[in-house]
Parts: sequence; C-alpha cells; structure tokens
Amino acid sequence: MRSSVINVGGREIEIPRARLRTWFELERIRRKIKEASERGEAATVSDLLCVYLSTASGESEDVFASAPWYETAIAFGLVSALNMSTVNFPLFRNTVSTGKEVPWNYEGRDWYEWVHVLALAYGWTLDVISELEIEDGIALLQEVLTDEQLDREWMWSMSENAYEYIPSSKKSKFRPLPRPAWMLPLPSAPMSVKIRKDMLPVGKVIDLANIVH
Amino acid sequence: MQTLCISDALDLYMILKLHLPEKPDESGIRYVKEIVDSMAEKNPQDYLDSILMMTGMTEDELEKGYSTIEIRDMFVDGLVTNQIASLAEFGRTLKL
Repeated sequence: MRSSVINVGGREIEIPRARLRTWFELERIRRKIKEASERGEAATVSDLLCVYLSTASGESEDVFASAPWYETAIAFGLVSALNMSTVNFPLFRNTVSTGKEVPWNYEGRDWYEWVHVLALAYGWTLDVISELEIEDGIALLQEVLTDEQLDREWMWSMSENAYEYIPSSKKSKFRPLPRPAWMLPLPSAPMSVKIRKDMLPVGKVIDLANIVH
Repeated sequence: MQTLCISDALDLYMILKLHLPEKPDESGIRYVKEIVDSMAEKNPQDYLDSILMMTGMTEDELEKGYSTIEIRDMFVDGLVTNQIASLAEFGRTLKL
C-alpha cells in the first residue's frame, strides 16, 4: 500500500493513500481551497489546508495549524501528490457545469450519486464502495456511465423521435442522441505541413510561438 | 523570532504580495531591497503591518521599545526566518 511520511511539528506521520470515500472528500476540500484562493480569502485557505491534511491523516487539525508554515505546506504538497489519480480519466475531461442547482440537491449529494450508480450496477454496499482504490472506483464508474449512455443511444435509435423528416429531400435524417462532454472526441492536433524551402521566409526568423502574452 | 504558522504566514503573504519580486537573487539582498522599495512607493503601512505580524508585537511596543534600525533588522530577520521567497512561491502556487 502506498503512503507518504510527513514531518510536522517535530513528529513523523505516515499517511496512507486515501481510498475512494476519503479521496472524494479530499477533492471536495481541494475545490474549496481553489475557490477560496480565487476570492483571496487567505484565512479560509489556511483553515482548509489543515482540514485537508487532517482528513488525509486522521490527525487533529491543530497539529498542522500550529506547525511552522513550510512544514504544513510541504505536507500538503506530498499528500496531494500521493492522492492524485495515476490515470487521466476521460470522465473528468471537458466537465461542463450548468451552474443550476436542482431542488433535490443537498450537501454531499455528489458522493451519494457515485455510490448509487456503483451500488446499482454491482450490488456493493456503501462500505465496499468507500474502500475501493481511487482508480478502481473512477474506472468502474466511467464504465457504468458509458454502458448507460450506449444503452440510451440504442433505445433512442429505435425511437421515431430520432429521425427528422426533411421535406426537400423527402427523406428522414437520423439525429443522434447527444453525448456527455467527456465522451466527445478530443480535437485533433493540427496537421504538420511540409513547406518548400524556397517558399519559407528569408532573413532572420524569430520564433514567437513560445512567447507568453 | 519564530517561524509563523500557516494561517499567519498566508496573512503575511497577502500583506507582502504586492511587493514580492518574481525571483530571489543569490544573496537575497536585492530581493529584500526590492520589497522595501516597493513598500515605500506603494503602501508604507505594509512595512509596519508585516513587522507586527512577524514579531507578534503591538504597534505601541514596537515604537517605544526599538529604534528604527532595530525595527529594520527585525523586518529582515523575519523575512529570512519565514523563508519569504518560498512563501511567495507557495502563495503563487495556491493562486492566492
């Protein structure tokens, strides 16, 4: 099992890699840290850094709040790296937030949405899902969501609503069911085109491609 | 002088944020000078606020107990003790 050893306040603390439930909570705190940073709320950021480390280690928040700042900062860096997913899951790509909150929302609902999907698909209990490895949990969730989407697409293709009649051509055109943003293909890299040497610019060429604006 | 805890350190960063140069030089002398120059130019109150933060003293204690030179030395000592260049890097990483 992977773990990190951090030195805080003269103590050596071994922190194991989080399981799915704890990881979910850590990511929620990280999002809050990012939001508080964007608002410039230093006090909230420092509190949340201690909450993050306390959640990951099981130690009291005071341990991190009273230590020299660089020990807490180094610990945060190490624990964040330890709990990063080792796989770049498409599920987290192109995430689009509608910004609208549904009336049946409640604090922490996003975790129960994950549990609900996994429990329904595999028949696992809350405890089993909570103790999954981070990558296992995310990968399985993505597989379930992919299956659901492909099932919906098949059912949609059977429906007459999926075909739009075009009067000018007197034919029906298939309208595919829209896919979630993470299932859409990534934009392809621009093609590299060879240019004849005699058509290249003459004189001293300054490459501006890497200049930061 | 003791190293600040994370809460006070980030408060210190917020005070110094406007005045911190991009990168420290080898000796740190130019770095400190640039901070002081920027404070003098933009907001001299930040000089006092940062010393109060780093020493934990009140304004009254500082004014009555120490000379200008001693206060300046405290300021430099505080920046060194709190590894100000690293704190600046951390603050920027957090995008504070």
